[in-house]
Amino acid sequence: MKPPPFLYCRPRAVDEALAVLAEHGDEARPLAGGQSLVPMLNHRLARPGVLVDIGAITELQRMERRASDWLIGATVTQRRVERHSLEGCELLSLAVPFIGHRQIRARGTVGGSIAHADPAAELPAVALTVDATMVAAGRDGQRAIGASSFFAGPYMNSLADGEILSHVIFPVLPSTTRCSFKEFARRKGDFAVAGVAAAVDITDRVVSKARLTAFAIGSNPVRLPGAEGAIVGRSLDAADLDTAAEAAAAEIEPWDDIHGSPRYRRQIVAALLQRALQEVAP
Amino acid sequence: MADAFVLGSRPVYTGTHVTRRQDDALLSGRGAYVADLRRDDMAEIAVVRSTVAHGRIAAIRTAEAAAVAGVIAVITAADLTDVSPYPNFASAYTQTPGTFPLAQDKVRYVGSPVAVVLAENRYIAEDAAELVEVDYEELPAVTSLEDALDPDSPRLFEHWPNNRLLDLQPDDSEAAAILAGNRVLRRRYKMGRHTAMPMETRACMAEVRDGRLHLWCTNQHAHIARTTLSYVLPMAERDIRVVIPYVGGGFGLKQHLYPEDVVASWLALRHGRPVRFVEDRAEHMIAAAHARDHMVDIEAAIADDGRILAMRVQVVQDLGSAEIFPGAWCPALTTAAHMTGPYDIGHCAVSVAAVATNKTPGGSYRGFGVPEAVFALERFIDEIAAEVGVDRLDLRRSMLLQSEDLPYKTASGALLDSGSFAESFEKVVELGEAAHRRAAAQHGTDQQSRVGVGYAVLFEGVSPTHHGASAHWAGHESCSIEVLPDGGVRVASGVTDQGQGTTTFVATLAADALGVPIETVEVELADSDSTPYGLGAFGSRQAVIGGGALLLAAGEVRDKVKRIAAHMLEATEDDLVIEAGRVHVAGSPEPAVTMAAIATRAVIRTMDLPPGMAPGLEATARYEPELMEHVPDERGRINASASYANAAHAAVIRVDLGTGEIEILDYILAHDCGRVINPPIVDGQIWGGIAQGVGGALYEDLRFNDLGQPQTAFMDYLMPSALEMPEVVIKHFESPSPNTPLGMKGVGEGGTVGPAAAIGNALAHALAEFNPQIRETPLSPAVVRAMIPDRGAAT
Amino acid sequence: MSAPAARRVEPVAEVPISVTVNARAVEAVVPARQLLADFLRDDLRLTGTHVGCEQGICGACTINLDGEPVRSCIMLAAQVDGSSITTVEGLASEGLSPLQQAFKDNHGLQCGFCTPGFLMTLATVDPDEYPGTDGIREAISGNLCRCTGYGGILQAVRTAWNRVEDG
Ligand SMILES: Cc1cc2nc3c(=O)[nH]c(=O)nc-3n(C[C@H](O)[C@H](O)[C@H](O)COP(=O)(O)OP(=O)(O)OC[C@H]3O[C@@H](n4cnc5c(N)ncnc54)[C@H](O)[C@@H]3O)c2cc1C
Ligand code: FES
Ligand code: FES
Repeated sequence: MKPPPFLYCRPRAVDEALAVLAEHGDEARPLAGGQSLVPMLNHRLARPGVLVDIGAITELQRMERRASDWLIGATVTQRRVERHSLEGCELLSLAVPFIGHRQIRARGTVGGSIAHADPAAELPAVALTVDATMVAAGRDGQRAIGASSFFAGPYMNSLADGEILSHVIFPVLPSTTRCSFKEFARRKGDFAVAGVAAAVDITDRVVSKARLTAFAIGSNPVRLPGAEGAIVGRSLDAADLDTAAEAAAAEIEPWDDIHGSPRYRRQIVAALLQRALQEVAP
Repeated sequence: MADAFVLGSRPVYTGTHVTRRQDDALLSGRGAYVADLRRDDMAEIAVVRSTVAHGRIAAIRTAEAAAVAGVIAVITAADLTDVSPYPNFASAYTQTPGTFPLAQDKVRYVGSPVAVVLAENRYIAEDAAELVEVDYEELPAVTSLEDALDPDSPRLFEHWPNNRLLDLQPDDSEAAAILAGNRVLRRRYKMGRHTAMPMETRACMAEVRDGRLHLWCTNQHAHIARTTLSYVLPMAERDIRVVIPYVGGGFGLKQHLYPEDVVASWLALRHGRPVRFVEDRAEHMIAAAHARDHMVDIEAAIADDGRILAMRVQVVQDLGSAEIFPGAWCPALTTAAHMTGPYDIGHCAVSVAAVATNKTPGGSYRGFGVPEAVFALERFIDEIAAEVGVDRLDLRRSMLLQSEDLPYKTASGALLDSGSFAESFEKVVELGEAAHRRAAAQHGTDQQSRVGVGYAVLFEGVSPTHHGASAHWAGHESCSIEVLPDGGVRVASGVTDQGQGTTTFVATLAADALGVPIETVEVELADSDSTPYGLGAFGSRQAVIGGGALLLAAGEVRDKVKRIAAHMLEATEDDLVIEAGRVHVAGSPEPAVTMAAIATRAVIRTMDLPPGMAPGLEATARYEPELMEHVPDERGRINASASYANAAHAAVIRVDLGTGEIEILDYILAHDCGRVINPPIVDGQIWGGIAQGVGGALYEDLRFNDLGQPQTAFMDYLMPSALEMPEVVIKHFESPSPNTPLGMKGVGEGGTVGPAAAIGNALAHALAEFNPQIRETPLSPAVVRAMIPDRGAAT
Repeated sequence: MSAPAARRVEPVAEVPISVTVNARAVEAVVPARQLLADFLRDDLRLTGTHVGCEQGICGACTINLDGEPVRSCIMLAAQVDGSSITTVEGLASEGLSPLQQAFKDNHGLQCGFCTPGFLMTLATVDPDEYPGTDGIREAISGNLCRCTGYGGILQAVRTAWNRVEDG
């Protein structure tokens, strides 16, 4: 389990990184925390000709509260997010501790996790739930990509060749929004077998807006419009929870792997959604 | 037991917490494991492994790999012209797989070694290994034990009549007669495939010095490894030295002499350079021994009150490709030997089949067939209780062996000479019921979960013969003790240390048996050049048998010390005591002579010895327990172990009805391993064993698809972390064996064998309202969730 | 973007690095693909950092990198240029640190293969972030031990961290 040979560089600025990426085309690949990429290299599942280590680029390490959102640089580590109190961005804070272990979060980055688009990863699910914006940097400048179009299949994103993810913008949610993040993993720190993220606005003790997401059940996280519809206007009593859970189980198309059949994944999504909604209920 | 096995006059270390001597090195990163060894001119290997489960090798092309800069050689089976297949000493009752270190014309599992690259370092070796091209003509794969039993299944070995390596059908007429006249209950239980997964993978380094082969390796037996290498390479045994440095856990997996050990040795001999192999974890998942994978069919005649009157059992073990040495059928025999449990069950006839499939070879793993027996029998008893309508605890009480029943020979031939079966059971019941009440009070109102408690009672053979596994070696152990002129002591023994604390144990017993300070005892293990021939680590044997050999040798030395001291002090031997390295008359510490003075006289100033006494202060002894049998009788009965430990387990669990997840709230274990030498080490063995048992019961699962492709990567092989392990309450019982040195029994496996049964029974208890069928492990959340009706979560 | 032309960065196969290891300055040229664990073990002969999986899962290779516990098996040596590393060999200048001593006194190790990883995690994290025994379990959950069942390790950490509850 040793990586295949490659060339390596460690640019200090985004432009420098983009120049190398442009020059080497699809031979080149960014390296952020390496917590997914290096295991893939060790398994020889990835064979980049050139690794562009973006870990020393300070522009990508920004973390700022702006007027109505948080700007989080692509190479901000998951550990840094965990330690920071992100007011208005509670779902992110709830989700981050579920990522691997302390040692993984110490190196793993927010941008790396989102760019990697692991179907079972937490951060893509958070991004989708809160409508985060992914900002890509390319030789022609920056462009914004909404969460609903960023994830393009398992381990696939919609960055163009030669682009890197520069930062992610997480909108600050109003104080009436309640969040919950539930996942079921075989052991603490393992990738989820299935998980649910919820951001629910409550006005006058009823749900005025609901954003519900299931992840680790298929290629990418998915919103649950059926379950969302089922709870808008409701007070989230026990019957509402059942209805929402049933709707969620019915609307997802889970995949099959050694940790769970589609039927089992439906069952746990239903159970997790009930628990998440219980938590946010007025 | 004979008086030969005694500690000295004033034992001070035995039974106390002697801290371990290797810990300073290990804690500061100075302990050298095999992968830490290096030589300036060392080369490394990478193995090209089969990617198909069953196939004929049509062609192997190595030229491109051989041309890579830094590659020294690329070899296949065809190059090993002077190598012999591994021997099979059991050909009288098993088929012979004819295992060769590299695949000869067929591959029988994904991971089977096909070619080996020797290169300047592992990075280059892996680069080149990728370039070796192998063409396979694929054959249909046999991937389950059921398929392998089917006489029409494709055969792995063309020269066998079917896929059964072993098929023993002892006379079961007695049991059959009782079954015919009574109510009969039948159940099938299965234990899934999991394995030892030590944190250190396998490794070896072979080096040729002065024409002799030196092999540093992670094997559990220096001498058995040496003898086996001498058969396979083939080479004179005197020209081979096997050394086992620090080993990162063995648990049985490292008992086998693997192909890479042979190939690295061969390459070192051929190329004159030190050759190192360090297995990576991806290889370990498919090429190091797997374990368990048993099916146990029980048919039992049941009395009205549920008692088992007679049993007829069929044990089937899935061996994988069976290409492993020593062979791996012995766990099935061990399952058979434990089928009655510590119960008075008068008749038990067990037939045993071990079948070959296109999966990684099975091998040995802590527990070694006993968890399979305990899971089946203890689940079965709970199922009888439910079926007949009696209390599961009372049913056990009505069958459990009481102290007055001992000694007792089980229907399978095990001689239980001592134990605390009923007492240990009652203790865990008391604690288990209390813990369950607490749990019920705490979680009783939670609609999302259920709590339950389950029990398992068991005995386990410790210090078994090696013959069951190898049909060659038997059961002895060795020890040499030499007192040096300054009074310091060198102890060399055939036992080995994979972390169990063997070194400390040897030092402890030697210090007490000789009456010297433990700091003056130097222990030498696991170097075939400097230790007497012994069988090393397996079956929790080292304390009992290694300890026995040590006490015999120490007794000889001690007698001589006393004779010399008596002469020096002008006293009679019987009045003397030895303590803290000094010999004096009991009751009067002065005058005294020191061990140094005595030893100086014995080996230097020999003219001052008592007249007629031979020089020297040393002894070598070997011990082979007399009651240990090596071959079964015609009914398959055998007392294969020198001794039997016993334990009772209780698990209190909480089941999440929504996800099917099991959380262990309390784990209680009462354990009896006879005399305890070092309490924290015993507790550590128990905790570690439970963690492995819990892993097998709930988490660990080595799966294959229909094509025989392994489905479980390391990331999916879920060994418990600290968050999955419960706190464990351990209660000790000490029933010394009358038949072993100091009454010791082994402790290595007691924790491992019970958790599947106790947790399975707790699950049945927790989910009783759904009448679940709990007959297989692992009890993964998906499996458990399927036992719960969808509305169950809401009711 | 019409920024001034970027500095040209040339990808290389051999990477010069300077790194502080156990308070010692080290200058080296490493192959681009060399894993940090291999650099420490093979080049610096610091074999106390063990390798159990090379995929970030087992924790045996954990080291302290700039004050955080990290896996050295899924980092490239090239990535640590300019950093400071402590390995198990650097935990105590002589003898055993109190944490190491607690492992010894409480039988917190058996084969010892996992031990350096546990020690480096525990020596790097802030105990206050991990209260109680459950906190200790959480702190060590990224390190697997196959021998001890964690009983001795928990006891060792309770001792080292002065926690008396339920132990
Ligand atoms: C044992 C273990 C357990 C883990 N458990 C979890 C878990 O439970 N949940 C979870 O979500 N993750 C888990 N991870 C993965 C971890 O979160 C990774 O950190 C993350 O997936 C990738 O981030 P990284 O910074 O390490 O990226 P890298 O590994 O460096 O890169 C990952 C991929 O993204 C690309 N990439 C990285 N950054 C950028 C960028 N800025 N622009 C464009 N492309 C980029 C890389 O080219 C590469 O293809 C685990 C990892 C390990 C080893
Ligand atoms: S060797 Fe690095 S985590 Fe296992
Ligand atoms: S002590 Fe052996 S793996 Fe932890």
